[in-house]
Amino acid sequence: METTSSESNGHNGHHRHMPEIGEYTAQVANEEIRAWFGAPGSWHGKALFVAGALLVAGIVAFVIRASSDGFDERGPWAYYAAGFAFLLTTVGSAPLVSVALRMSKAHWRRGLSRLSELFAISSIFMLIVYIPLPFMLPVVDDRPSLWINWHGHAPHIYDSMLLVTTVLCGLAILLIGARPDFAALKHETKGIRRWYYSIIGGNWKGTKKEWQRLRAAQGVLGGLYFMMLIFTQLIVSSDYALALIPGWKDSIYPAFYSLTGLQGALAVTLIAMFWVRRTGLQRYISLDQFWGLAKLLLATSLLWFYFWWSGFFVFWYGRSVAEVGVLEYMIKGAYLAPFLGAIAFSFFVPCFFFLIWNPIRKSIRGPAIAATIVMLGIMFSRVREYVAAFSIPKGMVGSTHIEGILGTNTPDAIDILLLLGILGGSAFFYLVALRIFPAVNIWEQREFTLLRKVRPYFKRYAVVLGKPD
Amino acid sequence: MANKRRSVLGLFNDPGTAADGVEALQNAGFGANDFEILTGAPYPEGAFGEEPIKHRLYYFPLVGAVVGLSLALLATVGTQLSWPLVTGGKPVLAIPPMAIISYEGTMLGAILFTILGIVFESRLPRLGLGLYDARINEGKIGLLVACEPDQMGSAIDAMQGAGVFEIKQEEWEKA
Amino acid sequence: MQERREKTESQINTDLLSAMLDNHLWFWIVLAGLGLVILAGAAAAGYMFDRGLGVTGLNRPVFWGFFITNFVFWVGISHAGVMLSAILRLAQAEWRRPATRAAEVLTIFSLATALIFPLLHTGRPWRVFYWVGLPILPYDLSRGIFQNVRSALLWDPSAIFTYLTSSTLFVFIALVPDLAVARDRTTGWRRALYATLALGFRGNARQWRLQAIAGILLSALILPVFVSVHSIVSWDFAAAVSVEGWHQTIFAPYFVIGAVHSGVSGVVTAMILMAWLFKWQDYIRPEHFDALGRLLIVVATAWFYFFFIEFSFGLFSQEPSEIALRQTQVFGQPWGWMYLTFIMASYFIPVPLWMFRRVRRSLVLMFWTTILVNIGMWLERFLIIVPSLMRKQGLTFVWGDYNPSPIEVLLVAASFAVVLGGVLLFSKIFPLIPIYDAKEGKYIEAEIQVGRRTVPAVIREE
Repeated sequence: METTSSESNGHNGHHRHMPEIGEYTAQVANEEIRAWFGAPGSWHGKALFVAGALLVAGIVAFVIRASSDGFDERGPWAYYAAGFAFLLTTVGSAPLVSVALRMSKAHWRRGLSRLSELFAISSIFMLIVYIPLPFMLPVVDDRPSLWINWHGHAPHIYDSMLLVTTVLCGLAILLIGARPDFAALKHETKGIRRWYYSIIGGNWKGTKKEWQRLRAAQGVLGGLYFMMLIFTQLIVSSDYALALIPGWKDSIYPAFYSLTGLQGALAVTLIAMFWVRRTGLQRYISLDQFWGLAKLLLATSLLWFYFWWSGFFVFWYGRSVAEVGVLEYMIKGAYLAPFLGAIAFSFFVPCFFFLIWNPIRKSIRGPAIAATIVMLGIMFSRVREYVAAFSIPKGMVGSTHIEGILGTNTPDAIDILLLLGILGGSAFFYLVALRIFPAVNIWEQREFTLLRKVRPYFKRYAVVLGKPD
Repeated sequence: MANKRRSVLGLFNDPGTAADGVEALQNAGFGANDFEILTGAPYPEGAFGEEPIKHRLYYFPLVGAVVGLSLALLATVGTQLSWPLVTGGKPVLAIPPMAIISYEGTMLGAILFTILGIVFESRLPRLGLGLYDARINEGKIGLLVACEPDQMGSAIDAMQGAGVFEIKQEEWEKA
Repeated sequence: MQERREKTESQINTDLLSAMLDNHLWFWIVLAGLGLVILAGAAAAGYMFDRGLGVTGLNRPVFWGFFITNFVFWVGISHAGVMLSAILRLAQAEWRRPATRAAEVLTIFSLATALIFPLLHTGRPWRVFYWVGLPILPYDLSRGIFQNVRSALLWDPSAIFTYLTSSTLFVFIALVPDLAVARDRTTGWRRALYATLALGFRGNARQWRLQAIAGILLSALILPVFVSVHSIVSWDFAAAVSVEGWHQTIFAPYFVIGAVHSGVSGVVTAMILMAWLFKWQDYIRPEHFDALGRLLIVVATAWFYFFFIEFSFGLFSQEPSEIALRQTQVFGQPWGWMYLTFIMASYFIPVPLWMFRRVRRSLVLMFWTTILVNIGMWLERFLIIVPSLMRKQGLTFVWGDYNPSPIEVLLVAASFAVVLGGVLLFSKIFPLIPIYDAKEGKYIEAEIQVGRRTVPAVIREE
């Protein structure tokens, strides 16, 4: 018999503070999530069409750029590189939200964990986009880099290995977490769906040992993914941006990049939650999830400024020739506009116009709008860093400082199409993933129904949350 | 002419009977401003059926931040312009260092005003405890009613009907 | 939590007020011992003021040694308060309850102790009078100039003053309900003292609600201050261009995360001492150290990440002077064995141990591992400051060594005595574990039946 230590008995009174989401059963969760999965609505087809069109446009732009400029010069591919960096910061980092919240045992993660892990499928597209970039990276002999005393192609090899391993780890987390759901779904489907549900679901029966192994695997893979992602971001950001700009010896930049990765992960998950919720599953993707992520987004947006300021301030105070050159190039001069966009949309607008205000933070629309603005800010950031890096003249890479005044590499129509294609491609992959995996983790919701109760607490209702760990 | 008022403090043994006491008082016609619940530790809001409190605490840090920022800017700008010495090749009014001190001033102002706001909104400091019982901090729950002398009877009846453990009274003059 | 103890409110009051109201012989013995160390430190300081800074080991080119290392160390320890109190309060972590006040009090005393060291370092601390009136009084009346806003040494006092004031007021506000309990449980002068400090707190719904809001609001306001304080201390070093190894952009978050690492370890040490000395095993339980241990793993790993970046980027630009510094730190003697000790003590010994639940739940092992962490973190600050200064310039004839004198060692030891003594005295006057927090934890605990298993639960307001 369920008890609460402070439960009142037999009180006839007006109970207040009824929680927004009442108690529900595992069967309700099962049926609702499966129903949405089986028929998400016409919006999905429309979205897929738009994303697909953008992807095709991006491919066409890629072919035009490759045939007209080749791969010898980095300058024409600057915006392409920024697009890749944007993907690594957003969809490439998104599974981290599920991993981190699972590590901290937050119950409210359950409504969003699958949506976050599904970005591992979009990460496959990120890997495809990455393919041309190593061919444009100069060798590290005789220029500043982290690869001291390593052979000249170290970044090409190890960056690629790290990226692939990180994406594989993210996919493993997704697939392992989906096993119980697939095992349940395979009995209700036919054809090719039944085939791949059987492959992934395997002989899952739900024995105690299987659940223990699932949890252990999630824990180990989660920890590995976390460390690998951070390290990958460190190496990639150092090699593809930091090391290409003369005099940019900025030890905080890789950490800043990782922080924007976390910020981007939160933002892209919020956006996915918002759009999926508009078509159903409001019981599972509720205010709790938005509020929780909004608080984290506020923290990361504030930290954005802190990390940026730490880098800027030391350079400003030092005033060496190299430091002044970098500040002139990346902040005051050629890339002033993207810098202003980055600081406005990554920090100022989302924090002070949205997330700092309690009523907006504790809402559905507010965090979603803030997240969209943050994504814009991240794009500006990546443009500032990677376009600036790829636009450095070949002969200047490896110098001690930037010589002369460099101009701005402004985007042309092909660059715009490339960026749109990159965005469209990642969205396309995600939308396809939504048709393969249930958007909300069914077994985690069933588990939650065992641990979440709504009980009268004297003259009000309260949610009682079990903490088995 | 001074009005005489009565305070009645009912001590309850557990939250359940205290919540019943609140309900009984409400049924007897006592409004939310006529009674208060005294506990030794916080209970979830609304546990006794009380109305949520209204406060203006959030204005205090905003005002404090503006005051702190103004003073910090005044200090940094004023002192540096008074004796304009160029040091380290940096401008006399160098924004990044000024920003650091202004930031600290802003936060200090916000926090100081917040503390003031907490004390003020809690209606503290208070001279004297009024009708109170030290056993409230030992686990008893107090229900304190302020009423006119002719309402005292219905207050006591309501609490006794709910299972009150002990009742104390005090008469005082309303200015 | 899994290991709940059934206690009445009366019992909780008695248990948590016992340190204040009961007399224990060990308390006075320990306090006397600490007092002797403090007296010895005061004598050393007096000797130094009389004879000048030459009695220390400080000399060209190493003008910052033990004093500044200790200053940075204690500012670091002070970061525990906000980490545990503010962040865990915002995250609604139930296991924060016995830790918050101890952490906040440690913050106050360690910050106050940290402030002593720049004063000692002046050699003539009475001249601080001319600086203290920032910005009202001109510095050094004969020259009539104001403090230099562009100097990192001015940002330090503004940040530390803000943090110290905020933390002290935060502790006071959260103490008010407990002072009301003390008022109701004491007589005579004690009652008068607690009644005054309790401001007339009675525990009505309004006051409790504002306490809850205050906790969250102040936590949210103090968090940015907490981040800024050690960042500003780090910029004392990072702003200097001429010293190899210092001018790095990563210093701010690196110092902050290092502070959190040493601070949380310090709080764990303090909590274990509290559990042992005051017999609070019912309130400070192995499950709390289990949770703290897991937090420490995350914090330590984050710290190691920043350390790795800091070290690697020292070599990034392949400048000979920078590489020479790193070689000195890692392979030079005696720095090499210090470096090895620091890295093993800060990370590679404690963190693998903390991976095991049995270790995290063992008070003895947690005690020694957290002390080890702080030994390592003290060495970390020393290794950032002194080797870099020894080889500061390219001209070898100004290279020098640093040999700390007994005066400096005594003053460092006295600083530990000041902090421990301060916390001990605090425990005699105010409760170190929040009484109302312990009671609130009782009110919101619940149970859920899942099959045959009874699962502990918490009640959440929504």
